[in-house]
Amino acid sequence: MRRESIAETDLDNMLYAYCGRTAQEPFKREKRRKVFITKPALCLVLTLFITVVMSVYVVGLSTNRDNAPAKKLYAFSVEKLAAFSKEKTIQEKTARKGVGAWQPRIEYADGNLVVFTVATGAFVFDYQAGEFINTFDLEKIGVPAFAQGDSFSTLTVSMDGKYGLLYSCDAGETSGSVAAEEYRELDLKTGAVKRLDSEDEFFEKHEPYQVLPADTTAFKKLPGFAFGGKTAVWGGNEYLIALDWQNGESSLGSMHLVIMNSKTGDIKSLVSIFDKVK
Amino acid sequence: MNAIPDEYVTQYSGDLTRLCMSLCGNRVDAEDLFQDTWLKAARHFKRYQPDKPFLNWLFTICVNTFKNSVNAAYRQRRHTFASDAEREMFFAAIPDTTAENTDEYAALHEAIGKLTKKQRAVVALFYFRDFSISDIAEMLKIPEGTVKSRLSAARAEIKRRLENEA
Repeated sequence: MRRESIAETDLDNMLYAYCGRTAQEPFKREKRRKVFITKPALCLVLTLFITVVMSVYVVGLSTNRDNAPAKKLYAFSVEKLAAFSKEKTIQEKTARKGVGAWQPRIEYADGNLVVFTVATGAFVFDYQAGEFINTFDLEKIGVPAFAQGDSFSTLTVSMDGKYGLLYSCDAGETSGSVAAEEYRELDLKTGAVKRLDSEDEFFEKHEPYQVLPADTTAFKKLPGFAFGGKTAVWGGNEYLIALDWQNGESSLGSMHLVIMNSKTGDIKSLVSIFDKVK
Repeated sequence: MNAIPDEYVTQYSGDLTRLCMSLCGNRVDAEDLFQDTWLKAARHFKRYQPDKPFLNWLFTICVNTFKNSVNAAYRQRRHTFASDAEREMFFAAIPDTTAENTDEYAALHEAIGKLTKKQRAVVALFYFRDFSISDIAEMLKIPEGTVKSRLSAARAEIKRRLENEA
C-alpha cells in the first residue's frame, strides 16, 4: 500500500521529534536543555545509558590498578595501561562521568573462536581449547606513526574468521580531515601482514563478518556481571557470547568470556580470559 | 594535558547521548560513539577555543568520529535494536509518540538507517540542535552548498521511503 504524500511540515516535525525535540518546539538554546532533561522518558534513557557506560569504565579502571598482567597477552596493553594511568585527568573525569576506553568489542564469533578488541589490542581466542591463538597491537602492526595523536585502527574480520582487515587512519577528529589511511590484511592465525591498496582488495576475497546486536536479557541475570561488556550471537541466535568484567573491584583476572544459551540462559562455557595467560 | 571541566561533562552528556543515538540508531554503537567522543575531547581539549561554543566543538568531534567510522567496524552494525525492550525505550524517548504513530517512527528510523553516514550526520545536526547551514558547513568542513544538497537529498530519500512504505 502506498501512503499519501507526506507534507514537508509533517516530515520536519517527525524528524525534530526523532532527534528528541517536540514537534514545532521553538529552539531556545538556553532553555531547551532543561526541557530535554525534564522529560521522564528521555531521562530514563539517559540514566540507563550513562549507568551502562559508567559501569564499563569503572570496572575497567578498577581492574587497571591491581595486578601486573601476563606478558604475552599484554605485550601491547602494559604500555597502554601505563600510559592511561598517567592520564589521571582523563581517568578521573571519565571514571566519574562514565566515559571509558576499555570497552571490549567482539569482532567475530563462531562455535570455537572469538576475536575481540580492547583499546588497540586484538585477541584471537579459541575458547574450546582455552588458548589464545594470537594477540596483536593494531596500532603497531598498522602504521606506528599513526599511533600518536588523532589516529585509530579498526579490525574487520572475514566471515570464516581467518583474516582481518586492519584499517589504520591518521585522522583529525576536530578538523574532519583524514590525513592518511592504510589497509592491511592480517592472517589471524599466523600473524602475517600484507599491505593492501584499498579495502576493496580485501572485500573482493572475503565477506565481512556481520556483528549482530544481541538480546542480553539472559546475560544480565548472571551474578557479578555489570554488563559493561560486548556481546555477539552465533548459531542463529542460539548462543550468546559475551565479554565482560566480572566483579569489577577485583583484578584483571576478572574478565570473562561467557557463552550461554540465549533462550534458556544456561551457561555453556565461562572462561576467565586473564587466568589463561598467567 | 588540559582537563575538561566537570560542568562541561555534566552539561553536555545528555545532548551528546541523544546525538549519538540519532546518528547510530542503536544503543551499542551509540555507547561506543559516546565514549570515543568524550575521550577524544579530553585528549585534545587544549585545541578547544573558548571563544567558540563548546557544544559545536564536541559535536564536531562526535560527527567526525562517526563519519570516519564509515571505513571501520561500525559499518558492520545495523540500524537495528538488540531487543524489544531497547526498541520500546528508544521510541518512548521520542516526544509525542503514541501507540498509533510508533509504526511511523519505526519506518522513519528505518529510512534514516538507509541514508549514507554523511547524510545522516547533516540531518542529525540540522534537526537536533537547529544548527544553521553555515554552522554545519563549518563543523563538517564542507561548503554550504554541499550541506544543502545532502540535506535535500536526505529529506527526499526519507520522504520517498515513507511514502512507499507498505
